[in-house]
Amino acid sequence: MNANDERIPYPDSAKRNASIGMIVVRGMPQRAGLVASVTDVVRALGIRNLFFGVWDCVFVGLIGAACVWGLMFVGAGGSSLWSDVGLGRFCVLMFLVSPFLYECVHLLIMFKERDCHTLDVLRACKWSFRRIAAVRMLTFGAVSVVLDTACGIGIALMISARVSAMTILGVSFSSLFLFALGQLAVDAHCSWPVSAAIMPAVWLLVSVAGWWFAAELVVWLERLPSLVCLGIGIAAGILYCASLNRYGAASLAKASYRARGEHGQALRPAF
Amino acid sequence: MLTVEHVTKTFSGTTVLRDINLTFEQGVYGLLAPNGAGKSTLMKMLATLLFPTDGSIRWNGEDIIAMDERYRGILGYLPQDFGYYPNYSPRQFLRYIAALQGVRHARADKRIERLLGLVGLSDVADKKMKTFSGGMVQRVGIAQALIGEPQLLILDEPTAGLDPKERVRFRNIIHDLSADRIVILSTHIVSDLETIAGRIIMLKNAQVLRCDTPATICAELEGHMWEMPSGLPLGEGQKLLSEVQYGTETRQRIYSLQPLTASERIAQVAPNLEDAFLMIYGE
Repeated sequence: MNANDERIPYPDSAKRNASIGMIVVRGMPQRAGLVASVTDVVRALGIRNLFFGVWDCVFVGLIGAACVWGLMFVGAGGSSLWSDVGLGRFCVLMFLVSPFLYECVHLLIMFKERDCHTLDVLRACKWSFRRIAAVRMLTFGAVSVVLDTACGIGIALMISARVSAMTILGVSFSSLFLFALGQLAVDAHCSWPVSAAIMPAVWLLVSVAGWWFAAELVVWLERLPSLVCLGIGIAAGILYCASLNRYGAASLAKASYRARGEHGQALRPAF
Repeated sequence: MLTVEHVTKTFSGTTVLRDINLTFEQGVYGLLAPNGAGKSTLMKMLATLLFPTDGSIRWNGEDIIAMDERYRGILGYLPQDFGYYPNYSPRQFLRYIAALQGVRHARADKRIERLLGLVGLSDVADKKMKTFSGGMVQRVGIAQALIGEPQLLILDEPTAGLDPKERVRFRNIIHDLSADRIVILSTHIVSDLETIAGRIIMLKNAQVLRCDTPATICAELEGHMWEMPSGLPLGEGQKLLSEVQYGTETRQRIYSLQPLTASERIAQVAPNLEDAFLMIYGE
């Protein structure tokens, strides 16, 4: 170093690291949030194109959900609900039926896209099909929430004040969002057609267990503060939205691929 | 420029492609190999539908997986098994694909009209695709691959189901398109490539066997291809490649290591790409 170099005020390591950090943060593209993703997709494609080719699946799902919830309303008018076991079993049925619309539409769409062999073309398009799938799931998740809310409140009014409307909604939302979360995880880690069967099988098993312990379930639900029950349902919804955001942004295989170093060896497990 | 660098693909312990190295620049490339050789696997990796087990694929030096939608935006892809929604018309389907490719609505309609004319489907643009023949559906597939005006066109078995007239039309389309883009075709139908491909890539045993012009590949058989009446016994160093029909007469097309004596019945012929294909892949 010469004498001129000694007069240049070089930054210390703390300042240098801070500058590098600021350059990296400003240079890295911001990950799109779920709301931004939804807005972008809907603005670019429109609602019609969001479910292009699969509107029949949506229609069939809605008809199926109407029938299932109709039966629930018929059941809610029955006298068997006055007993603990009867009321408990009805709550189990609420738990089982709440994700019906979501899962029905989801499975029908997945089946149709595979049956029509459209997936390869769609996945090679500029707009990420994963993002579109995430927005689709959010859309019929939202419709499910509206349906579950309306039917849950209606049923709660019919079966009197033993179990409050907020508890009914809490059970319904928890079931819907936990199911949707589970389905998301299964879709990410398992391939079709196994991924179609796992969550419905799990939900059926849980419901059978709940059916056996129906009386105890009602007592527990009556003791659980209704606000806590509803809070659990809403928390499950927030967790689902956060997971959906990650699902739409990246894929499992892509994460594993990017983890490989220069020489191709895996640096960390995929998940 | 698209480069494939040391790409290997393994499925459940079976290596389908091993250490593939290729470079694609403007022009038409034909991927020629028998069924099951790994053509579609390579095409799917180029279209980002599959990821390499090892190695990388780069567009102008940038990894195509990392590029994400920027790469898919310059890509047009026709899969081997092109799927469609039967109750929609080609116009509706192409509008959907145009939206997915980020093409603006106003521009999309003009482009769709032009493409439907290009593939000869203007008359049936608004008819439901469930009424279409296989060839017509395939033409819709070709149109959708072109909707985004891609710089890179990947066509997997594009002439499957097309009649001879449609195949000629297809070859003309590809020839016109290749002037300013990279076109990669995969097929096991040799005649589709002979006239339009600038380079032929042949796969064997999970590796690239040849990457050369059709003329260079055929030149290796120059002087060794003969035709003779069917039924004549083959000698030492001779291999039957195919039989050709001339009216009522059937003649066998053979490869001979040693030169033969030309006669009325035995004639030397110019080798073609099908001869090279049969020599390389024949048992």
